[in-house]
Amino acid sequence: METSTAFTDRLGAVLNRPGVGIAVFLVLVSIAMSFVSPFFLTWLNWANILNQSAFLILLAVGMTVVLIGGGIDLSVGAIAALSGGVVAWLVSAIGFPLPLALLCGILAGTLLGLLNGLIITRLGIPDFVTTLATLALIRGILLVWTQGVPIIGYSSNGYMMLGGLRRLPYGLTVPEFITAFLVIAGILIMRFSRVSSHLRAVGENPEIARLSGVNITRIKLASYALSGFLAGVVGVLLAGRLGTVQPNMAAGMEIQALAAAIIGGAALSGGRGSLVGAAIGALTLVVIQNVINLTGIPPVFETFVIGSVILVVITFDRVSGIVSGRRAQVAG
Amino acid sequence: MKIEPVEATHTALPESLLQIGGLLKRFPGTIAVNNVSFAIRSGTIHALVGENGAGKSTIIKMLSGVYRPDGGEIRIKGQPVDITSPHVAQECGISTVYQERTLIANLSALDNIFLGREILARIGGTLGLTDRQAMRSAVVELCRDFEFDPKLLSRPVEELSALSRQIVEIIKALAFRSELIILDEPNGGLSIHERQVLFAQMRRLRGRGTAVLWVTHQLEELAGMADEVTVLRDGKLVGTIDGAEARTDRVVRMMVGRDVETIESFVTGAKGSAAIKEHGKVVLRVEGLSDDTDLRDLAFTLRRGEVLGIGGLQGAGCSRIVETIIGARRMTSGRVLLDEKPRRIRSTRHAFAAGIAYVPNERKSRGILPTFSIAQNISVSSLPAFARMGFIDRKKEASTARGFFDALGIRARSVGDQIVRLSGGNQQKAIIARALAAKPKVIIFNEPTEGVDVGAKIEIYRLIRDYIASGGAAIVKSSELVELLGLSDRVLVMKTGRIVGELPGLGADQDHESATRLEEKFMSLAAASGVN
Repeated sequence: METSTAFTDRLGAVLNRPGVGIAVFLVLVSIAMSFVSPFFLTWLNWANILNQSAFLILLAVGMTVVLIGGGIDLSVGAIAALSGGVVAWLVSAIGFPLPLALLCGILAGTLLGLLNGLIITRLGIPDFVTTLATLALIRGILLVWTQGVPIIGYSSNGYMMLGGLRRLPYGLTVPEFITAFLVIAGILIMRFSRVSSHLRAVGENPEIARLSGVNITRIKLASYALSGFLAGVVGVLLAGRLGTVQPNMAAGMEIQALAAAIIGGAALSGGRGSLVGAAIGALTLVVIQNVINLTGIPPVFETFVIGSVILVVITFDRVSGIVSGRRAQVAG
Repeated sequence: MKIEPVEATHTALPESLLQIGGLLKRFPGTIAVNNVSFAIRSGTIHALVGENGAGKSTIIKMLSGVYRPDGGEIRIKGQPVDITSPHVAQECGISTVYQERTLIANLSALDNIFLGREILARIGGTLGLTDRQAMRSAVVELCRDFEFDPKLLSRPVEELSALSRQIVEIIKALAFRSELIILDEPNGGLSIHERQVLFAQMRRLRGRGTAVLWVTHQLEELAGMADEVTVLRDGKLVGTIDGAEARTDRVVRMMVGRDVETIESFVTGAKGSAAIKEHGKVVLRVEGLSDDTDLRDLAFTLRRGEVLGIGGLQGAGCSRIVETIIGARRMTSGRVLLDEKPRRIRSTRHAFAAGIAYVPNERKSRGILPTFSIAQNISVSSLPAFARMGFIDRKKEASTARGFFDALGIRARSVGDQIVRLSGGNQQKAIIARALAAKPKVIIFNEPTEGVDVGAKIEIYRLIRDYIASGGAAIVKSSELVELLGLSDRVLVMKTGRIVGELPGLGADQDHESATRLEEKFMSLAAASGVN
């Protein structure tokens, strides 16, 4: 039975890979849109889409890593905002050179992620509760610190270039390259490093992982530190793009990142998820915004449409999973 | 893989690799392992046998770093070791194939085999990069030996059959040059041929100088395979004997011993009249029950005044049957009739409404409501009976609970105490009280005395008998053979989802066969290999 590699089996297996469903969806929407709006398939439009999606992709990838490890990180939006705030403040108020300030910002994000991991592993507080609390705590620190007043006066040509406000030749931007580099590095690590199987094992069944000699604490800490690092990178780039750091910068991005990860095939129950899927998921959310802009649908519908897409994609995934018996378990 | 010369076995005198001295492990309400000492020599197959609950698994878990001993010591090559985690066990050279499945469904077979022990690449190894080629070639011969297609190594194990998954588990333990390999009942579900392959591997390991600790129920295989056999009973060591002398009857006598006599005398005393008593009319009838696992076309009846036992080896489907009858699992075909009327039972709520009460196994997670009082735990399955104008009548609840305290001998300070404060035996009695409070026609017991001490066991047996005497009917699923045969009027023997035989219970038996003889009959039915 297993040795037979009939074409339909193969096809079923491919369709069941996380992220494939959403990729098909994305292609279909793109084809449909090319008939609705001649502008949709232009290079300029896609350069915009890519520039807009670069940040969300990074957060979605970080979220996916945490989800695979059986956790969830609700604090990424707040971490991004604080990291951006650190850079803006260091440059404008202290006069740090930009590269040093950027490092400090990213370091702040990484440390905050590590803090999440420490609270979860050392105090044994559930992932959801911990990051829900740190989401409010970190955002609260930013609010108290800035007294609600945006930080300004740190922008420069170089920083705008870094944030993707100014474009390189062909309409490309720096964040796109950074995102591409980090995502590809992540995919390679997940493909070739033992970290990947350790992470999946911890997420799917921590007890088995422990019996196999996997260091669960280290894996958990690393996944949250990575998520914090990526949030930090997003925060410092976003500060460059926006030119001011509002206390509510990147608010709600954790929900978008979570949505992207889930429609990209990550499971809230842990153990499953795909970085490619998460990237495609994030791209899809931005394309949906783009479609709404281009077709003249009132922007107030955007949230509603995104909600519908999540539900449709997950339902499709579940139904195809049941049909192909992927979730079928043989009870002992 | 090359067959190593047989002489290799005898070149070096087998020395003591692992010594266990005075090992002790307590669980709430029971001592699982009580002052057990034995030694395992390198280059030998050392069998560990005993009934369920004898303490085999607990010992293995202490050797594998899952449990910490409460007393005693473990020495490896004379050096005392503290096996604090599974990782430490691996570093001590101990590999274990556990009874429960230990594979990650979403990982490939290869990743599962090497989980936690990956072969790192020469370049980038410090970054955690793995050398998949090296890992693959390290196990490819083992795969061939077990007729496991190496191409399947890259498939997620969730896509493999149950059998292939079992083979992956075995390869996972054999793939490492451990000094001690623990096989915890590894041969359930393997065909004769695969068992032969496994045995050949065990002999090869022995030839290499590896020690194999083999936990098995297949007593008839001991004499041919084991060099030494250690027998446990009730958490205590009965003795270690030479493998050549481990004839089945001798081992069984060591395994069962005194405990049987206690239960036997209890059973025959209680059943003196029951054996002759005519059973009443059929109260529960199961017809053609099948499900989406391997349960196929099961049919049996239960009469008023009768205890029907269901038993078999791990994975035979006994638990699944009772869970299907009470609606916790779905049946794909078949029906359940109560008093000869078909009832649709699609949830446990339906089951209670229809008059089938359930006493679940795994009391901690499935039985007790830990934050509730004892009285609330008793009333929860029959709340409508305690309702007054939509509110729970706490006085009635408490007085009912008090009634059960007296009737069942539940020992607690007050009915308002939290149930978690009680001992295991008293908790279990409260769960039985919950079932009785629902005034059921049938009670289904899943492991009725799991995790309770011997004294409470006898009391629970008496409760079940009293309930039967008062006109009830019961199904008992138990993996403790003595209990199963002792409590039941009839025992259905299960194997791979089918009923493979029916035995009379102790005392109900016309020929008055001895417990030992009945146990052997049971085992030969339940463990018959290769019949499908």
